[in-house]
Amino acid sequence: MEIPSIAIIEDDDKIRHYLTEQIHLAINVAELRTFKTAETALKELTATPCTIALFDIQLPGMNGIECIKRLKMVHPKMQMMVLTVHDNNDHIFDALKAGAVSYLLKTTPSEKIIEAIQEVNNGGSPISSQIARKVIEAFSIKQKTNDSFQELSKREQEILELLSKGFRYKEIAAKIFISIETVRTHIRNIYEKLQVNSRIEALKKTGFL
Amino acid sequence: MKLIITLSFFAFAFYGNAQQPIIPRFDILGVNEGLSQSSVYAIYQDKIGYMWFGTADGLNRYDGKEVKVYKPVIKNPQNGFSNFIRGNICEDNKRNLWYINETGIFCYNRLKDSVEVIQYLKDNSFLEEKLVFIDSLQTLWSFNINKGVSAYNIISGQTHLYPFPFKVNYNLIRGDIAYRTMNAIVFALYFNDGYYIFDTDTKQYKHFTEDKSIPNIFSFKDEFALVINDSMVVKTTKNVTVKKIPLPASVAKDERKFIYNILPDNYGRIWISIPSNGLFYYSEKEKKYYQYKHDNSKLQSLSIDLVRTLFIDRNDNLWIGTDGGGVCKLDLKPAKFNLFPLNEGDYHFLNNYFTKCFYEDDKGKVYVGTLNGLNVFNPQDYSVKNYTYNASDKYSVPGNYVSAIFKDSKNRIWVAGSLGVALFSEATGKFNRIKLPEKLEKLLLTTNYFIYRLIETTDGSIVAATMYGIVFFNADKQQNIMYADTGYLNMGPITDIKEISPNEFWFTSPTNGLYHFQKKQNKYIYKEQFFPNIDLRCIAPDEEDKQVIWIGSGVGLIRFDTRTKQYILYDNKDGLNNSYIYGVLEDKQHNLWLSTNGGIFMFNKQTHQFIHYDADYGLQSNEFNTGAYYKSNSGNFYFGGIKGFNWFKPEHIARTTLQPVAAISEISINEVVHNNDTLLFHQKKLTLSYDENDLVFKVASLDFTKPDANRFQYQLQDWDDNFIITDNNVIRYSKLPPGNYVFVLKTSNSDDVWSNEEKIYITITPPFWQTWWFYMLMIIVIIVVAIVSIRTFVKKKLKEQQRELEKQKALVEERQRISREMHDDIGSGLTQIALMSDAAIRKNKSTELNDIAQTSRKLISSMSEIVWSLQTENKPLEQLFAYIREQLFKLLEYTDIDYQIQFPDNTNHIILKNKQSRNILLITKELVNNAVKHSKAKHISISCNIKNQQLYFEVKDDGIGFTEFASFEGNGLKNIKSRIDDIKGILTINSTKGYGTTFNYTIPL
Repeated sequence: MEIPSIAIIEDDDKIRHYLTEQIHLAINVAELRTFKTAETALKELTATPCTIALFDIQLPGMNGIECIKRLKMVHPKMQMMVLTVHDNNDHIFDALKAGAVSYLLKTTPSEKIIEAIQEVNNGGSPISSQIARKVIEAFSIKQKTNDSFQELSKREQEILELLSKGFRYKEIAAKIFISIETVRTHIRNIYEKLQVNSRIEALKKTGFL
Repeated sequence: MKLIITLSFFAFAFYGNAQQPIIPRFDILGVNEGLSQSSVYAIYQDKIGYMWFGTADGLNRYDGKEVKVYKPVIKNPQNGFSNFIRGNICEDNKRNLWYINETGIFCYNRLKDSVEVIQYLKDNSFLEEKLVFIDSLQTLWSFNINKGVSAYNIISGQTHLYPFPFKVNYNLIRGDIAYRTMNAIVFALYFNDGYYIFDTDTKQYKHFTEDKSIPNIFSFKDEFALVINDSMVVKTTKNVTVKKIPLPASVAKDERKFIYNILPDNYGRIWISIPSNGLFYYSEKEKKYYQYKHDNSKLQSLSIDLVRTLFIDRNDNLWIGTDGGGVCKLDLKPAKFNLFPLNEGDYHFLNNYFTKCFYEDDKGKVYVGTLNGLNVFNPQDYSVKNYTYNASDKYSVPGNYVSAIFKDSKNRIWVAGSLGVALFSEATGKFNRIKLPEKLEKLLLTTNYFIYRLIETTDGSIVAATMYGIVFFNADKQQNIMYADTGYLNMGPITDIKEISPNEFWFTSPTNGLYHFQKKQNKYIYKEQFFPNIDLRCIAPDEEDKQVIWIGSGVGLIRFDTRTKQYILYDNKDGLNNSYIYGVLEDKQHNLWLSTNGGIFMFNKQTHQFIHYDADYGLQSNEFNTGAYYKSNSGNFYFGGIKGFNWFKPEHIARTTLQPVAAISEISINEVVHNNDTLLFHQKKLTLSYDENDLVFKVASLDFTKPDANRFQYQLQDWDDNFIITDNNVIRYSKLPPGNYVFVLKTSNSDDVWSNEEKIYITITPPFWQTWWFYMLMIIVIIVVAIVSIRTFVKKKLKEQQRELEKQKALVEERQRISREMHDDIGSGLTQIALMSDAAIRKNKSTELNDIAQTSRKLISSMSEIVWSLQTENKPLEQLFAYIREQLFKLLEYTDIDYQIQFPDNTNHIILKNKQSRNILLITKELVNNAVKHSKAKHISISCNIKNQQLYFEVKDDGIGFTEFASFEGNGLKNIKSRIDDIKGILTINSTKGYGTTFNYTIPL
């Protein structure tokens, strides 16, 4: 697998080293940068973006989610993943709203990490049933309040439903007779819409909308 | 105006008769009746109508039923006063009464209803001062023997003395001095000194001495009178002579001139009193005096001969204040009924006045049959000529018991007595006996009253109703001498006989009832009989309907129709208080007059109303006699009784039109006498609070003619439904609820004349808790309280709920925080261990390091589970299924095992408790994990069904199975079992060696 550039933003040295090592072993990456704080990452990546970035949420100073949000505004095509110690759905959901497309447990075995990165590179977006439920909620509450609100298509709703029940991509694809690729694309689109909606909400709060 | 009407009635009555004498019945009001003292020196009727008597010991007020005594309260023993009331009682324009004596000026205050000393008069001891009159400027003029005339002005309270123009010589002062007229005070202090006139306008004394020996001076209406030369001379205050009245000749000459009072009435009489000679009146028309003295032998005579003052009230009653005999009252109004005798002792030759029958001749003389023979009475002069039986005189009256007198069409006067029947000649005074057959003579002698009635039939024969039956008298051929024929003498006593229509005769019997006889050719034929056992006393043919007769009986008045034989009985129930009727007479207005054992009744044939006149109206007594009823040709009605007789002309019965006055003399609230206040007195309004709701009204009918016959008609409007008529003068209302009422009172007097209405407006204010605004307030308060309490309650509940929630939330948060922190710390630590082991593995492959890595990873995943299950209290089942699915996927992902997960849809509404979710998750994971590890299965299926509130889980594999449960014990089966027990589930295991294992566990919801 070839990935042009990857960035790792993690304040724990050991984990950072470990991840760097694992990635280097499995992926042919041209450039691998590591950052200890969100501020430095923001500065550097704003100047020079990368293909895929892995963010730890708990960072000293600015947290990872905030960083994701800001970077997404500057470089929308940058794919950002979030590293979590445990799957705290709120954090994950916030990260997704901010602009992340995937999340990883830090404790995932290295193969899984690589797999996830690859998945992201391929355009996929891993999602758990609880996250799916939160997404459904997000889309249902805000429907009434906003003209610019992005609504989900029927297919997207369907997929989101199945996701919320815990089905895997494979199972969903089998169930509704589409390819796994299509499932992945749909999920990406759902995330995009979610991000747009959350941005709109943020802008509303600041008075720009 | 009313006076004129009354007088004209009276004048009418005069026509043909002399002035009716007064029935001398004096009513006495003395100490026994409540008077404070029996020497009464002043009498006054106030503007409302109450009678006031000034005695030697205080002021008395009389309302017809009760006497109330007023004496001032002693405030300071240093300021003494006497209650001896002298002079006159006067009324000012505020309706207060004033009197003066030498110790002070006294005022009866109308509002306070009490007498007060307004001014104490000192250095007057033993010398008289008296109030003479009050003038229009509200000045009290009083006369003091010692000093002169004083003027006390009520408004200013100032006194001005006008002293005598001479020095008083106490040795020469007489006992009594007289006084007053309208604007002057006339007095004579000494004998042989003439008299003085003090003019209150000019404030000058004038002395008149033309006749020096003036024995007495007394006021006469607006003038004054002196006795000069044996007659009373009435003069004005300007000393002009008005008239002369002679003095009563019956009084000794030297006593005659000491007249105390002189008072004219409305009927042409002048009343005077002379000490120790009693009361007189002089009739100006007849020019003679009538005297009234105290006489123990006379009924209701004057109480004592010493008369001090005279007063005539508005209802023409004469009030006589005596010295030691209280107050006497004499009705001056024309009597309804003439009375004979006026006084029992008037005729010494008559030892009784038991009257049996009457006849009035055309000269107006009245023949009265008594137990004393025949009396011929002259109503003009009240003289009586008496004819008694004399055994030696065969021309004397036939017996002393004269029971029937009758004049026939031949002008013969029949007299039936106890010893025979005779014809009386007025000219000779002789009674010519009629020869009776022997049988009749014998019967006659057996009884005292043989003949009850004599009538003349239409064909000229005389029929007698007797003790034994009917007797006829026929003329002989010469039409001269009468002789008796026997008739029916076995019928029993016949009390009356009338020829209703020619030849139709009706008799009444006290034992055998009513007989109807017909006369045919001189024979009387018995026809029929009615009311066999009733005591019948008289018959009166109805003057409007000839076929109807009225019968007086012992049980009431019977109206009998002789054609239809129908009868109607009127008795007690119809208002006839005494139903024993002796005589019935019909008057020109077609009213019936009845004499009974209880007085006289008038019966109105139209209205069927009875009017009752008892002995108080001047009847001889209440008891009348059989046969003693008679209507003369001149229209006089005579009724005789046991003590005399009465006669009257019904159309001239005097009925007064003078109204009584209705007064409310006292109001008590809650048993306490309510003091008059200006609001009550002037506007007749009473405002009370809600607890002043027990009211007692003491009422009075101010007509003193016959106070016992006064009645009250009252109604408390908005409480009493109707007017109530009573003779009780105390009216009580208890427990009146709040509201507005009007108490309306009317009174009637003995002539049934009703007064005007007297009203009092009463308002009982509700207690504030009964007023409408209080109710409104209460309702509002209740509503507000309700609202507030509900809101508080709700708030409290909400707060509690909130607090609970917060507590729960706090708990949950705490738990989450703990778990998170734990997980973070431990998790990161474990992560590091895992990573470090991986790094170490790369350097040195080692199974131990693998285990370390794996174990630490497992630990992290367990912690994730714990965190997951601690997230919220209760999760929907759907979320649990989703999570289980994901977890199982992780387990089965990299195995070669083919798996199926089947969970029901639409389970979002089923909520599981935290414990349940966690346990189900762990059980399922454990079982699948076991299957993966130990069963060597190729195929695992996990499913769940919901039925009857139960979750039916199944974990099935096609592995090796097991037979000994023991081999599973160590593999966590114990844990599984305990977990299942914890959530009250049931676990069943089916395992066949070589064919797989199925775990079924059922969890209740």
